[in-house]
Amino acid sequence: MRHAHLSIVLIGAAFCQAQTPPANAKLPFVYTRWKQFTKADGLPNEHIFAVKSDGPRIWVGTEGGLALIDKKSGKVKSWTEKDGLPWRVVSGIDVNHKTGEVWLSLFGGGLARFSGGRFDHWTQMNSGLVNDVAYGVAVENDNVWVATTAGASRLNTVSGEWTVFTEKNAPMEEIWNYGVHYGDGKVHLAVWGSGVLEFDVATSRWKDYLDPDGEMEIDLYRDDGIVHVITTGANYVDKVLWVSTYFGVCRYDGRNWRAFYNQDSGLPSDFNNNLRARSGSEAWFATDKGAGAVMDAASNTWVAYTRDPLSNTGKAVVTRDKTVIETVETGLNLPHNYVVSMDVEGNDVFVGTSKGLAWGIGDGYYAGLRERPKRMSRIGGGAR
Amino acid sequence: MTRGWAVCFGVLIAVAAAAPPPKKPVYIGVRACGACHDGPKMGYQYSKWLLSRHAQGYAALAKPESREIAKRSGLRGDPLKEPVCLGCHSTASTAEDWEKDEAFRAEDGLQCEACHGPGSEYATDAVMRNRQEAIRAGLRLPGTDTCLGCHMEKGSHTAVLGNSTVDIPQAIKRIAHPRGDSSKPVAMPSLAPPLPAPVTARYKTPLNLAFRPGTSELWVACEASGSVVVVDTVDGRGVAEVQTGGAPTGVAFSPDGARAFVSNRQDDTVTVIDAASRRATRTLKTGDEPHGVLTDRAGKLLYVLNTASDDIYVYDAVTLEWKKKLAAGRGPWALALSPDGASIAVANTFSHLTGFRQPLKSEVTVIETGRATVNERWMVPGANLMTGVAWHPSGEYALATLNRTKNLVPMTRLMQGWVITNGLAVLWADGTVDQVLLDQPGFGFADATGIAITPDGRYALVTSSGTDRVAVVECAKLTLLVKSAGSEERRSVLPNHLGKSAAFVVRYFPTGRGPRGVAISRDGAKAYVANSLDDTLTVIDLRKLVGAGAVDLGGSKEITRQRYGERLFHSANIAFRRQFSCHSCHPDGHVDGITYDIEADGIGVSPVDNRTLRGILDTAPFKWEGTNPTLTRQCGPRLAVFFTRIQPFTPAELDALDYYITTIPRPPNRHHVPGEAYTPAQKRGKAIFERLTAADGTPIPPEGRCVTCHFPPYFTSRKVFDVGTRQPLDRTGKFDVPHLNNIYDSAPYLHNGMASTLEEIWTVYNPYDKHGVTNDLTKDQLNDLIEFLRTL
Repeated sequence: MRHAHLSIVLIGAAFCQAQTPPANAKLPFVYTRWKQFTKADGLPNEHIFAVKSDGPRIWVGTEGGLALIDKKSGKVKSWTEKDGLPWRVVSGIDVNHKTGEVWLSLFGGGLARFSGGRFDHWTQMNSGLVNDVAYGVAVENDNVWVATTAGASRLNTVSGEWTVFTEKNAPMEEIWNYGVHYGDGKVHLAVWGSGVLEFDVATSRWKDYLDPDGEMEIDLYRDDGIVHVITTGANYVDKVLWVSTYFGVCRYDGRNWRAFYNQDSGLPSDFNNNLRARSGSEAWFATDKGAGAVMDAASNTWVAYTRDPLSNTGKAVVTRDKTVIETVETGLNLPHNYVVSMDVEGNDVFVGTSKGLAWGIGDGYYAGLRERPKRMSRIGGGAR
Repeated sequence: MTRGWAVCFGVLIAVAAAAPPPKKPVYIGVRACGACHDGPKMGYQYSKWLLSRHAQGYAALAKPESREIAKRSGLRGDPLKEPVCLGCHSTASTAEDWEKDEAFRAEDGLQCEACHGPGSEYATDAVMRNRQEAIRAGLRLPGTDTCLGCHMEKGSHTAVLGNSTVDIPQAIKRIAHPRGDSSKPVAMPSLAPPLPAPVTARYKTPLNLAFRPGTSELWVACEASGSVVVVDTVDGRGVAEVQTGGAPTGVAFSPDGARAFVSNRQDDTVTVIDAASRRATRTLKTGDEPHGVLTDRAGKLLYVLNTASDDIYVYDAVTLEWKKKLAAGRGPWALALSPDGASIAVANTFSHLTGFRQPLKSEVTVIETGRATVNERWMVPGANLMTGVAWHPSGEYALATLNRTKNLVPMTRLMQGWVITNGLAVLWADGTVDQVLLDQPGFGFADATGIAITPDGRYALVTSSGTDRVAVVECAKLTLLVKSAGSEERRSVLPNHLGKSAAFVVRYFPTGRGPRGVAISRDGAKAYVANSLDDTLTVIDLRKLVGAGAVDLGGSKEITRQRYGERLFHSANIAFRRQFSCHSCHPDGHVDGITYDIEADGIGVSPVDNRTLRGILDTAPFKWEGTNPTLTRQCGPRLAVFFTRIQPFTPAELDALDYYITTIPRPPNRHHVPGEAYTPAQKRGKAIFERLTAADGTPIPPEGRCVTCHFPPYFTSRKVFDVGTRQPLDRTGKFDVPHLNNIYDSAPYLHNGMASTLEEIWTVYNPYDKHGVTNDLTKDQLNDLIEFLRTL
């Protein structure tokens, strides 16, 4: 994106009269300021498979290379194979904040580390990595975990030792690992057909979360466990486990499971590619019909961000128990409703779609619900 | 005492004085014999033995077949320890410890003395020349019966090995070891004493040095003595010596001078010393082979370069708590803080692994001290052995020493001064890099090593450990030369031009032997050069640019055979126009990770990977094609013909050099401490290494098992074998079976270095299971196997 494009354009600041008069209500924060990044801005590809906010910069993994967005200037720098990127498809990104190293899972290309401008490359051929079809990567202390199609690998970056986790040494009924996340002392693997596996770093013990009803087509007993054994992502924050699947999403607080479906919540679609949890109460889901954020899990309050493909404008719909309680026309928000990847950092959110990246700027963000006037419908700000 | 008793006692004393009883001979070991019984005049007797099965007798007991034989014989223990096995597979197995010289080793298998008897009394030159006297002194002349003592049919052996009977007359022919020409009298080589003398001389071997802030004390890290010698530069004499860990290499101070930090390469530690009391107060565990060490300007963080694990450890310099590990280039060696304190430049001694027959590319790693993270990596094309780095006080650039090793051209180009050149990298603060040479057309500046820049920025002093000199570079002239050159000249002319050094080198100073580190006093008046191989410091008056004497660090003045060899190893006097030393390709006895095209087999044919010299005693034959049975042959005239292109070593030099090479130590294994339990992964890997059946239960033929060729103690069969790795440039597919000890620290692998990692040996270069049956292994099993290999 050229610099000029980056400036937030508050289009008209024109507020329209809402259908319902403003009234105080317990409402979540709604992102109304968005920036978009596409190939026109310098991204090497618009299929955004991974996004990772890292302080003043945003790392973007695409189907055709890696990109780095400077948040302040909006400038985009990118790397493809000709620039030394070992493999073009970057499926996952994590940052070791201690060392500044950026770790990349490469779909078909294994694992890479980007440090000081140098890419180092580990594959199933030159290292102990179990498989090159890597879906996700997570930094856990001095270890790096990689979710691959043939199990999970853990690289101890201090000793250099690799450990492979498959059905041989983990409760992995299937070995197709879709996602990996580290938080609060636990590594969680989202496994296609094997639910979520939890590795306790302190004890090196595994625990599995499966769908107790064992049904593949329906969730026979609601809130009995994970909604489906085919999982796409798992995040553990505030000792709460969030799980995304192609059949809905769910939350587990250590005692109770809670499932969320499109039919009874603000989740835009049950087809979820990924998720990013901000807290035990708030999580963002990457669906095929927009970005869904449960902003207060206890009250089932959601905000769904979608884009109208005809008008190229977007809206945010606030719901509680599926009832719409607020609709905000945000103007430009997502480049596309097919959302693949997510990240949150500080007040901001980052949404990777099949047509580019959206950066939601959370000025004034607050967690949970707050009594505020219902926002009148407006054409919000934001521009490419 | 009665008179009778007194008489008897007197007679006894008289008898004893007149005819002393013959001394009981002791076993002195095969290398003592080999010291003389080798070379063409002696018919390469030692070499022949070395390649015989007798030499492998002990090691063979580690094979699974031996365990099976032992089992069938009713033996429950390890064949390597069973007396009944050792009786025929080793030498002197029933002798008491005092009957064996210190140099004797059972691991050497069936040695000369197994058949010829313990040799201490007949091994001397004087006795050996007289056969009768030698026989009186214990020399046995073995016959067929000697062979039959062991080579009788044994059911257990036949059951496991098949027909184990030996045709004795034929076998005697095979192991016959006459002298080179028995029809003529042969003079015994007048070399050094046959018994490897244990090193008793106590050397210092100073490597690097640093001034203690706020004082006139110069602290010198001394590798051989495991100490730091404190020199008072006012008096010019050593005033204290502080014991550190093994092989100290670098020394640095906290900014207030209160603490000294010394990196110990052998121990993988840093010794923390209270500088005032000169007492070691703490030992920090580091990565593998720590070298450079430095604190940031505020004294908050301590940086330690781990040269063998390619990383940098960061500690809290106050609490000494380990903070993190940063990824360096290959072989981080020296580091320098920028004048503004914002960054640290780290010189890496080895080139990246760039791929088979690809040009070298070395890295200078740049650390941002604010976050203590790597924020840039400056690449230096065509360079390696970057071992010294210093910032110019202007902050405009740093200078780093380097070699430019042209390994992609054949060694024949040595005559044009074109194989290994030596110089400097100019590392501009914006990340661009220039290179210049310090060589002169007729005189190389071999092994440019250490560098320091005067506080006023006028001079840079660079040591040449191969030619025993310091070059004084006038920095302004150097930068003028570079800046006034066009881009093409900077890219391709200056880095290679042997005549340009005259434009910026204003003086060459002779030093002591093997100069390494150099330090300049805070006032810029004097420079001190650490002469590693004569235990002195050369002092240079920088105001007058004249020598100002030397400081004796107190090492032994006796020059042992080993020390003599060490000097030869590090000297460029062996190469045409002093272009390189043995150290240039085998830095500190290890490897540079580079593939070379040696002319011996033809230009462009059979490029070969360099191999480590660490712990190579008893791993003959040498060369990847296994054609050199001894080091004497390896380093003898062929070295002069194919490498150095100057007069070869004299016999005495060759003897000392070879002896030194065999003493280059192998560092302790970092993945397994002997006697300690293996990790679960290592245990599983060991089982794979020793397995006899594939995953489906199919028996693995002997040639497909790891242990058939790689058996203890050195994990080599000392034979050549075809493991299916022949490449189009190779003239043969049979290569020496390399020993595997510390195999993890000598990448790349295979005969031509085409495997960058151990994994690639099997994932890429073993498609038909010719290098062991491995294709049935799952990935986690291969990982286990490699975990075990790292323990060897």
